[in-house]
Amino acid sequence: MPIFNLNKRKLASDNFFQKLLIYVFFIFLIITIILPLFSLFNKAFNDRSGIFIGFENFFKYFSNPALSQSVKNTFFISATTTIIAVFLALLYVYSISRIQIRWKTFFKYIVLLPLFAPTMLQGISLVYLFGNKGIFTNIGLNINLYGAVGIIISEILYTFPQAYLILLVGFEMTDYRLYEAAETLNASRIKQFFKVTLPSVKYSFISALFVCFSLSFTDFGAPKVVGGDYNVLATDIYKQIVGQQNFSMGAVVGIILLFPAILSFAVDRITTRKQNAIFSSRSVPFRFKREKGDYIFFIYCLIISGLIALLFLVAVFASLVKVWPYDLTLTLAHYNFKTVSSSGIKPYINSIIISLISATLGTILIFLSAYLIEKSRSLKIIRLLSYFFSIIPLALPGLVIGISYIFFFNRLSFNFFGLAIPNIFNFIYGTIIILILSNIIHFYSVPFITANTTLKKIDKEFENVSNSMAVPGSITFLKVTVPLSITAVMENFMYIFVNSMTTVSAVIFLYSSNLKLASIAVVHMEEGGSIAAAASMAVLIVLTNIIARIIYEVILKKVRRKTDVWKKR
Amino acid sequence: MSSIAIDNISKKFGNFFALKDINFKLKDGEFLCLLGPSGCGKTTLLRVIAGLEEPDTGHIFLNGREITGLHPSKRNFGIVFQSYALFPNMSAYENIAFGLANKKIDKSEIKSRINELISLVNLEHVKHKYPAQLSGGEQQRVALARALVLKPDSLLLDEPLSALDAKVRNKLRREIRETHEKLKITTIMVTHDQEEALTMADRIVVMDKGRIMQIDTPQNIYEFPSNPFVADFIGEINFIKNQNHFKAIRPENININGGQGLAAKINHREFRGSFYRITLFLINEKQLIKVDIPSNKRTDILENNQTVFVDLPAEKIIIYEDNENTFNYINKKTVLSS
Repeated sequence: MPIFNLNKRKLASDNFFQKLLIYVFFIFLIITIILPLFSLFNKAFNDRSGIFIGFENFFKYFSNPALSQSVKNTFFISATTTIIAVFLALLYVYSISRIQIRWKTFFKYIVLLPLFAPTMLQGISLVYLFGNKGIFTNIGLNINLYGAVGIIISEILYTFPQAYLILLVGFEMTDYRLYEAAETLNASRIKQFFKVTLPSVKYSFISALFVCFSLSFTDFGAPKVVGGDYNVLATDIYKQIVGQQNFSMGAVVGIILLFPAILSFAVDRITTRKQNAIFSSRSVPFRFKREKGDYIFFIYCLIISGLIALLFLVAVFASLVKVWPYDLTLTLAHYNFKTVSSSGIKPYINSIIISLISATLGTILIFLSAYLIEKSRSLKIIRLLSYFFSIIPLALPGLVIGISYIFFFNRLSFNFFGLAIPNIFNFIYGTIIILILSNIIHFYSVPFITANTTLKKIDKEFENVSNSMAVPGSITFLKVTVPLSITAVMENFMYIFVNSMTTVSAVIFLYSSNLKLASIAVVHMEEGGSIAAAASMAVLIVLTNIIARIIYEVILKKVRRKTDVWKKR
Repeated sequence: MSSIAIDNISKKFGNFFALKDINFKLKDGEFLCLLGPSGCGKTTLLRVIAGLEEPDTGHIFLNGREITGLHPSKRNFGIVFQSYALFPNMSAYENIAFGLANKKIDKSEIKSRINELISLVNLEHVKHKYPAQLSGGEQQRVALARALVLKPDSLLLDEPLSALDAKVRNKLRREIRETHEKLKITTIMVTHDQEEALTMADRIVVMDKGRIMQIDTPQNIYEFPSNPFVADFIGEINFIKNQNHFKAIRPENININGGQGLAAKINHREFRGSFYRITLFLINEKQLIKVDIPSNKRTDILENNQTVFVDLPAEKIIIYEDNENTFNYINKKTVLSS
């Protein structure tokens, strides 16, 4: 009986259309992530005329005392921010997950407020409190806001929610049986904290440290507002590129910015896996016990959430008073942006439109891509590479995305071994497309991982069921996969929307004069001295996000009710 | 109407042989069980037959027609997966209707076909419930009905009963078998439970480490296991070493008496409900054996350490040569028992 090679025959593998889509997404990711990064490195290693000069730009950068001082400054800021923010967050999470205190829901929600705001908002509020004409400055409490102090305080507020979320996951994935055992061995609460709690969250703790460091290292908004003369890498890039048009130097700074992000990304991948491994399906959730000193933790949470709320309320207040600090009558005048900027309220409208489009397109693209990567059977290597490319944006600070997009999409042609190949993507530069694209890529990874995790939980055999019954994969996708993943899809939408509303770091390089965004308007108005208008715009952004979130929760409730019909036993 | 022929199928995963030289034929309307321990390749074989996996070599024929390269949907097999893979967000009715989703069939005919199947598997009272609200047995029947909705020629079942508890399993064994008789549909069922295979199959394919160890009716496999693996995997067996071969005999076929046969000392007596499991130490052969005595026989005379005699009827003994194949397997077992 002849034995012939059956490998050529593809049995239950994907149809042509599915394979085509896999290739399309793969190429999409290469164009939007890999090639721009390539351009970035290219720029950093070439001089202004495009000739390869190796590390010369790097030497030039570090030999410039002002520029290398920025590196030291940025490290100092990030280290200080990280230590303070993570420890404050640790105590906050401990209070919520281990202590029986009141108002927990409030504390859980208020801590997320900074996530709804552009990072400039903290800076603006701090200016009103501690700036040259600040409330506290006027009564004699001068803390030298402009400079390291202001940046650090802003960054602490910015990174606090992120540290909180990371630590919260670690704390929630706990096994109460360990605490029970500790109790029977007569361990005091403090001992339990050091011997049980901390070890079981050590991976989240490490992850929080690295993420906070990376975030504060690369943030642009806060140093822009309250940095004063204190140079950090983020503002350096801005000056080099927007100010001096020195793209090579800008590229150098961009690459330096990559390092903490990549390191933090690697650490986060390792620790997430290890933290999840601590939690088994047998683990018992935490049971709260009342103890005497509980009220201390309540007061702590009150103080922290009070500070967070205060910073926001100051900005609101600032947007509503006529002339700070002289004329404190309330007015809505500052919300009439036409008086300080020719574009008026248009940037705000632009932001909403662009955020909605980014969220819609992004959610669909990311979910479809995650589905193809996870559930297909053919093209294993392409899918693996696509998965890897999809995670890279986690390691890319917005500034890096912004400038690498300038380098890649602004070129009219590419020099490929002496041949000039026209850049067919050049047309998107300066248009709304590049803004939407940068948002989608900037916020790609988290929704991707969410989608991937959700899809993994869905029975692997569903595709086989439809395969064996000649039901097209698209029907199974729409009738089964999407309904089962609906909460993840909604979550992703909110994530991209909120982030697109508040982001400034990528779009500050990519917007065109008729496509200004709200966050950019905040920066410009603050730059131009119209700080009250800047505060108003920032408040608008936050309010929009809050309203969006409320709408989301309402819709989520309705969706939950529908899915509960088939979920409950 | 379908006869299935499996011809020389092999499949490797790296250096590991999941299937090696698999050959057998199924008659039209037969109920065949693939039986073996975990990792023996039975599920892989089923999936290769279904078209969900590709074999490295070999052919599969359906009614004489080669289907080896065909997409699963073109083989007209109904498949029930081990996890059932019921769509959680659809009712039992909708799950069963799923296969008809894009087919050009009259709406009234769709309705009647589904209702026909629902009554066939006795799900009338729960047809609008969701899988999470159904018992394990009901879920299994939905999966079965869903597999049958496209009127397949053959039915492939991947351990359909392993997720259920014992009482439900017994009931469903009969139901699956009844469905098979009613529809006269060729069926291949994968199981690791020998009792299931013995009660349900027309023939059993016993597998181990990717190879077929024996194919025969349940009675023949039990009475005449062709190799030590099958003898030991199905039911219980004693291997008694005798120079260059092994005598194999089942515990219920050994008689204990006062004077005839091999001398043995009673080691242990275990009450198992309908029978006693007596462990004895053969004095001359220096090894342990197991003997089953029905509970209604007198066993009060059997005390520990008592010397008795065991009679091995010649017609119940199976001889296995002590060669390379049996060497590691049996010797390991007899060494451990003594």
